[in-house]
Amino acid sequence: MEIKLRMLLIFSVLFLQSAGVRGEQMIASDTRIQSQISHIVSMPNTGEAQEAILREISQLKKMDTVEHLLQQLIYFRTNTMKMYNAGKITGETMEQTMNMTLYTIGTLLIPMDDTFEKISSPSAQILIKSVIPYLGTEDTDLKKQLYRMLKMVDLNASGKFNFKYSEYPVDYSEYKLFIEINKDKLSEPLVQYMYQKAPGEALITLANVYLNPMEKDTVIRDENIIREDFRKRSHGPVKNRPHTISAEAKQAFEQLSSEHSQWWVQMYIAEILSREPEFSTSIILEKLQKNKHPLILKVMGEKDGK
Amino acid sequence: MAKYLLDNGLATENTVVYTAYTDAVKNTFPWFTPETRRPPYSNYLTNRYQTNTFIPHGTSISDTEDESDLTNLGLTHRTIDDDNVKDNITSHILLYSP
Repeated sequence: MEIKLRMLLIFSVLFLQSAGVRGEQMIASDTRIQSQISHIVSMPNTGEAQEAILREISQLKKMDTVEHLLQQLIYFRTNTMKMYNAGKITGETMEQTMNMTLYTIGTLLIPMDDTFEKISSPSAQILIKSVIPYLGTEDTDLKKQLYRMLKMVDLNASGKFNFKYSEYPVDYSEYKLFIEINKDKLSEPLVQYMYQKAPGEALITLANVYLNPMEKDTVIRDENIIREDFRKRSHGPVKNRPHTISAEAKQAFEQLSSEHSQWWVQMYIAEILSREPEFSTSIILEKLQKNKHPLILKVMGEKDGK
Repeated sequence: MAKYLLDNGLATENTVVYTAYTDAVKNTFPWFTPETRRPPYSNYLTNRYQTNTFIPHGTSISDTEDESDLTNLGLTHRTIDDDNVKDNITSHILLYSP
């Protein structure tokens, strides 16, 4: 990348900083680290430059903790997207910058094994910790980057697709561990993220942490019936699929709605209704409408197109 | 794509007639690991890749019927899906489709 472009990146990072991106939950820029990241992304993305790139990344690693460096890289990525959206950098520069920062993030994290399909548990916990303080941000560019980071924690590359029920195959075991450690201060923005991506896995994860064995078993049983109903209705050639929800799934859904008052169980009900309105009954809707939890109100508002 | 079709019962062993990788990278970010696995049930796999770009780039795959390293053509990850490579793959699709 040319020097001029590098200057533009540094200038724009400082400009955005001074422009004061709105929202309390914004990552504070560390100018020294931002400058080193800017230097790394400005290097030629060629096989010959590999050694020099890795040398500069080693320098970056010495500058602070992994948690802080991850936050600074997320900040840089967010500003890169803001600049791209504002037409200040080309698609090619944006792509190279995003790839190089993601690669740099990769060097800070340890894979679980040599398949490189999953981040090791200690690295996943650091990544979750670095993201959590900002997850409730109103800044949509920052939120997208934070969600992108969490996808690296929860993507289950060998899992099965069930698109209407789950955005992509997930593994929430690292969130379970994080929530167990922080059991008394459940992060609502994390719960919101988990439900948006895969409501069934979110419900099972929270049930495993917060419910007694008997109640947990009934929640898991009912959720499995609903999950299987979604799978059957989206599996195989369209002409062979059932077109309506089974009576068993409807009953399981009604039980979940009526027998569990926890807000995060009701959040599941709201998320499933937004995916499959056919589950709706007047009793279920009435119960949801009485619930004043902001996240449930938000899902209900989105469902009604408000 | 082949995995999605299989997971959802939309493809079987005999329906994934042809697959192609163009500088393929695993979807296991953030490591940009080149894809080396054959798509499930693929009857024929074309692999085109380059290593001019440091991040990301594909690589050679042992289990493939048709492979070309396009590094010497000066292609990058951004340009490898341009017309000439695309046309080459399209002609293969026509050749191997029933």
